[in-house]
Amino acid sequence: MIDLSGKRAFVTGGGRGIGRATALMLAQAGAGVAVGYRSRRAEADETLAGVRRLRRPAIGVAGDLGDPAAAGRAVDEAVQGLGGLELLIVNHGIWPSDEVPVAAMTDAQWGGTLRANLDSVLYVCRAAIPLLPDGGKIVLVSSTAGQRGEAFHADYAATKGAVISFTKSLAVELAPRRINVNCVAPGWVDTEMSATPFAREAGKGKQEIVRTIPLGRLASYRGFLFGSHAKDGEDLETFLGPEVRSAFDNLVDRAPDGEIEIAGGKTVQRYRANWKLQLENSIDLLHPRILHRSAIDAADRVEHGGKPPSIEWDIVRSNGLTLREWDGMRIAALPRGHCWMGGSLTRKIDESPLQKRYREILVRRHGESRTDEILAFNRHNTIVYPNLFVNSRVAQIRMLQPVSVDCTEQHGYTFRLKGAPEEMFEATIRMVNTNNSPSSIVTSDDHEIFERIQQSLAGGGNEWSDLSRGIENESDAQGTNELPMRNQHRAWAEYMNG
Amino acid sequence: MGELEIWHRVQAFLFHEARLLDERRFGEWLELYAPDAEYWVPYAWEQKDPKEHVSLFYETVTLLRMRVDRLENELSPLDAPKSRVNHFLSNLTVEDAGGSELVARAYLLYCEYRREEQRWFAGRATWRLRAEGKSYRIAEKRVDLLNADQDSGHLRFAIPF
Repeated sequence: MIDLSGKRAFVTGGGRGIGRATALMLAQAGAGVAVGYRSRRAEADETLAGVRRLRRPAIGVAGDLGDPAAAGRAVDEAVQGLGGLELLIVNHGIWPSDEVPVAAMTDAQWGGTLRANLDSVLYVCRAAIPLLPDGGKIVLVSSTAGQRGEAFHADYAATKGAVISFTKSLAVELAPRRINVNCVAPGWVDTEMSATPFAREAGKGKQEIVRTIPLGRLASYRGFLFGSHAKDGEDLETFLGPEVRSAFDNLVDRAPDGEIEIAGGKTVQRYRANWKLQLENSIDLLHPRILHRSAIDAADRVEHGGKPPSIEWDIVRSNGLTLREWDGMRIAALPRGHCWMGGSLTRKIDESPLQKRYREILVRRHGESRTDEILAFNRHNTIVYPNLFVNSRVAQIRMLQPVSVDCTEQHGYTFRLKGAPEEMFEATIRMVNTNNSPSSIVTSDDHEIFERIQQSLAGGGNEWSDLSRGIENESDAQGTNELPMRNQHRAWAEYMNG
Repeated sequence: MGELEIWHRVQAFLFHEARLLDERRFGEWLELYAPDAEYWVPYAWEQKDPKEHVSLFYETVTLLRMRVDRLENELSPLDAPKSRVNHFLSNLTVEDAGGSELVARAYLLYCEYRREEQRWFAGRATWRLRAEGKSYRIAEKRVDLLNADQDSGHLRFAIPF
């Protein structure tokens, strides 16, 4: 989390909703907080109690910010109460909940909304700017209504649009003093401001509003966040199933501290082929020995001079298992198109001093038998259909983002296992450099072939791609059986047919 | 040896390196490298450390040998048809780095033609050179591409920069 120790913040409208959440988060990050409110003292006190529980300075500041004198007093009280001010969060505002067409808008409502949402923004900023130090921060809270308008709430939308251009103006004005002025535009948030529209139509209002948000659902597993466009459907754990969940479990469990962090940057490769080709490729055990022949041969010609081979060498060489070895490898075709394949790395690297040191750390945390269980998990790719590759052994996740029917981006991420020797992370980086970077002597050949297949399919000469290998033996599939690919396409057909 | 003469000698050496790559004389190219050499093309702009962050290339001589060995192998799909490349070098400066070592810096322009596509990359190249007889050995080569960290990423580098 960002460290704001010793900083002092004034959050207007901090008694409830987004303002309260902001105040508490600032306190969590170490800042002292002045909580502004107009009239609801009890709610502001609750926010203040939350800040104090985090052992940060907290003071309440009452006042109607639409009144210039009161706004000035509020800012002064905040600054005096905290002994200074580095962060100003202008969050207060109203949203008249009745639906009022512009043709019927009364002067009173228009004037009231402007006073509460816009005049007050000027008054607070005007009073605070001279008191902020160089390098201070101002955040103004607008709304998605300010970006795209809101029918029957033109007064609200107009003030929030004005806050956006106010922000842009002020940002340039204060640039010489290195004061950042930014604006955030929240969409629907479940706060008291949304209570009336949520409650409409006997409680159905919320459903109607949620329907307008493209992302249907969010859920997390072991700290990995998943989004679904489908509002309803099975929950995340069911969707992943036990065998895919175990790949995420193993990725996290390999960290002695039980936590991993994304680190080491990100690799992106954009190629001109359909995303399905890489999904098939990544579970295809027939191609490595053939397609990666030149890299395997090159690895075979390396003289190690009696020293143990590097992990980078191992990951290149591992493609060169014999056909019999590939055919003996375990694969699994799982519900919803998911699949996995067994590990292909040789076990030589497990005998390195580094691996031994790492194992000892794990044993101290978990004992022998649990450590053996964690390290025995030997898989290469676990594929979460339709676009995710998990590899816990090398602490890597890759994600496919289709750009168009004939263009795909692969995004690769690496992880640091907390509590493990730093050299483990360095080994992960080296493996990615060798195996998954744009200069890789392995995946470059795959990307080349994806593009050629795409061109060949676009040529129209072949009506079908043949994925029938092993179709006569689907119940006992292993190795080079193309069952997992057929399983992917069956899942796709099911999704497309609703 | 005068400064100008050293500069001239380094330039001739680097032009020779470029020509070996462009003419696909990979075995001879690799012989220019010291056994403990590192070849680095960072992924991040002004990348500080090759160990903490992924790179476009970060290779030992062993890995470089696998790379060029493969390019000489007819079975590499990436290199069929073969890439044609030109390495252009300019703005060369040479500094004494103490001991018997020099640091050379140049602008690098790399043009590659393959499968109906011509790609250009521009970057800043740095070599740490070790004097050896009348010539040099490369102890370290680093190439910082101007677009190293572009959002759309990179694809398929076959012949080194």
